[in-house]
Amino acid sequence: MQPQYSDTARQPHPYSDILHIYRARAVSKPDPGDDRLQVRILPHMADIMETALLPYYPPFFKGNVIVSKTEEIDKEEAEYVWVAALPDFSLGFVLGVANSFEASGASEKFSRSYDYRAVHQGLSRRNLIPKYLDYKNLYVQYWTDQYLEMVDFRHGDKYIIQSNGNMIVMETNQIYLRVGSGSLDEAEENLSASVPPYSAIRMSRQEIRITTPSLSIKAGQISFGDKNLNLLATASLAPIFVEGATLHPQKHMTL
Amino acid sequence: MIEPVVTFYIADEASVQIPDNYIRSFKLYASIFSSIPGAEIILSDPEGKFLANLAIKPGNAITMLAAPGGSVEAPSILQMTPLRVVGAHNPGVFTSGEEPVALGSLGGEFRIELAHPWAIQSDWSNHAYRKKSSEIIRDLIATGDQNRGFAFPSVTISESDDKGNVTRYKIAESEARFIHQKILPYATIDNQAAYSFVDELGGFHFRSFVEMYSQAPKATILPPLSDSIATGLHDPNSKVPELYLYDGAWWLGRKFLEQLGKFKKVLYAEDTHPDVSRSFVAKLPYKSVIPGYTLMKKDFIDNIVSGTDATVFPFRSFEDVTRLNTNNNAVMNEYFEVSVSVDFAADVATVGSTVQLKLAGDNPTKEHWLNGKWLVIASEHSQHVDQLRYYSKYLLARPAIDRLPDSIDSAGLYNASMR
Repeated sequence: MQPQYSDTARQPHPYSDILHIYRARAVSKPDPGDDRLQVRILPHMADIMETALLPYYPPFFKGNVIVSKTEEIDKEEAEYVWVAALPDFSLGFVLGVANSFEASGASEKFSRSYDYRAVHQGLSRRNLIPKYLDYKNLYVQYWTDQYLEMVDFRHGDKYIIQSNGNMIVMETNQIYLRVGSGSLDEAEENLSASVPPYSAIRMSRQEIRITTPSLSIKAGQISFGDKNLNLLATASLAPIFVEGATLHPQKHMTL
Repeated sequence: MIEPVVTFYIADEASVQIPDNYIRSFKLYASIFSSIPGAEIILSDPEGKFLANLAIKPGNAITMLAAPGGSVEAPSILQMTPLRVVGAHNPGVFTSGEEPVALGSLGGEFRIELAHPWAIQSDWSNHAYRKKSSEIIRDLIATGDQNRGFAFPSVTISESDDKGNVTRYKIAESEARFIHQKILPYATIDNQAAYSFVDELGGFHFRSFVEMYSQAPKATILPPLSDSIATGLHDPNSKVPELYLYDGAWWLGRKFLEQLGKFKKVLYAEDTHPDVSRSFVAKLPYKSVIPGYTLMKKDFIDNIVSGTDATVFPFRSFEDVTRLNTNNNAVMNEYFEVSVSVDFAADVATVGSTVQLKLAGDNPTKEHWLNGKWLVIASEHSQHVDQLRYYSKYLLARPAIDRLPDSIDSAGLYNASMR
């Protein structure tokens, strides 16, 4: 029999000391303090009944804790991870969450990606699309349906986005923080409006714009400007004299 | 004195004897290194009857019975290891010599290859084990006895040293392959190399060289009877059976290059477990498993400062590495080897048992340096071609010898008695 047809010749020797790459299903995540992940290497361990003895592997890189949907959470929908392990599986490391094989070959299009169109629309609605933004420059970590991180590797912009509308955006010319995705129109008049409101801070070189249904500042002292004056907002700039003191309204301060 | 008789039966349904006059020769062989025994029978089949009738097929169960010879009038029948036909062929139709050949019959020598049933019957189910190696093997054999279609008639399992901290996965492999490739390399018994094998009687063993060597000798092997009597080696009152040499051979450091490397080994091992945090470069001198002398020039080894071998074991737990290294050194147990051929003696000695060797030296007042206890590491029980006599050939081994010829100064030898 030629080696290519031999079942055993196709496989690494089980006593080999060389790490090999395998796909595995996440089985369970141990308690706090244990960074390992229990995995079921597939197809090898598909019918291993001794689940408690399935391997626990640490993350490949120190400082990482790799988690995913496990068999313990959802037996049918547990996610795959890549592991680097010895062929007898006595030692191994978890590399990260794995993509599934898709379509029939390497030339087939891989379409199981994040929804770039929806992300783009969300950013666009909030004036967060710089002229230079290009899909091909975006390094993406699409952790879950609820959380995504993007870095424009050419310009250094960073996007952290949650599916509920929360986001932190650091662009070349602005920083934008936002909580929620709702509308502010109704909430401006009614804090218990049916459409959930949102709050946002947009910071540029020229201004800081805070948008929120209600702004509360708890502070012992609030200072505006650097003239060490007690400020008062009035409709005109004329000084006001109160009990012998002169109060100077601040220029360009609006409410 | 009666002669031994060996008979073969096709034992699948009705037990049918293979007629003695068809059998030109056979060999049954086993060793402590091989998971299973094997055998070969050559049948005289000038007319191609076996092919025409398809009387013997791959998968057939073959029973081998032996009535040992000796002075016992009615010896008990010895059932040898169960066997299954794993191949059959006829190397040529015109090889039957003077026998009439029916041209076109594909007659001639009909060669049947046999193996212990474990070769083709195994429990293939997948399992994970986290226990001592000896316990894994015990479980495996006991569970397999229920599932594989045959049970081992005897099981000898010594307790291994490991703590069972490493989970072993039996995945898409036979029991024998799992034991030999995933258990045995990391298992030691009393800190000595472990061996797993099936003997000629079908018994399963998981044992160390030392443990096997410590057994009392099953037989004494002497020169041919007349010489033994002449030299006074024959003891008519001996309670241990005496076997007389027909033929023999010996080797000293047969695997010289392999064995040379074991004398002073450098071991690179790393334990990647964060709780251990140790990396090692260890220099390990050879220690013989039994006391005695190893015939290796001491100054030759001493002058090789950098070591005689170096091995790297990445990614293995330190416990596994140390045991792997012990097993790696097991080749030294075969440093001295002697091959002896005697009358059929499978009832007396099988692989894994010991025998006493008593040879006559030049000086009858001094014992031959090869004399002493030896472990049977391999055997071949056979009937030679066209002879109605049966023989047993044993390969004996030990790592060191008890005594030296007078001309040899032990101070110049590598001290193997460091255990």
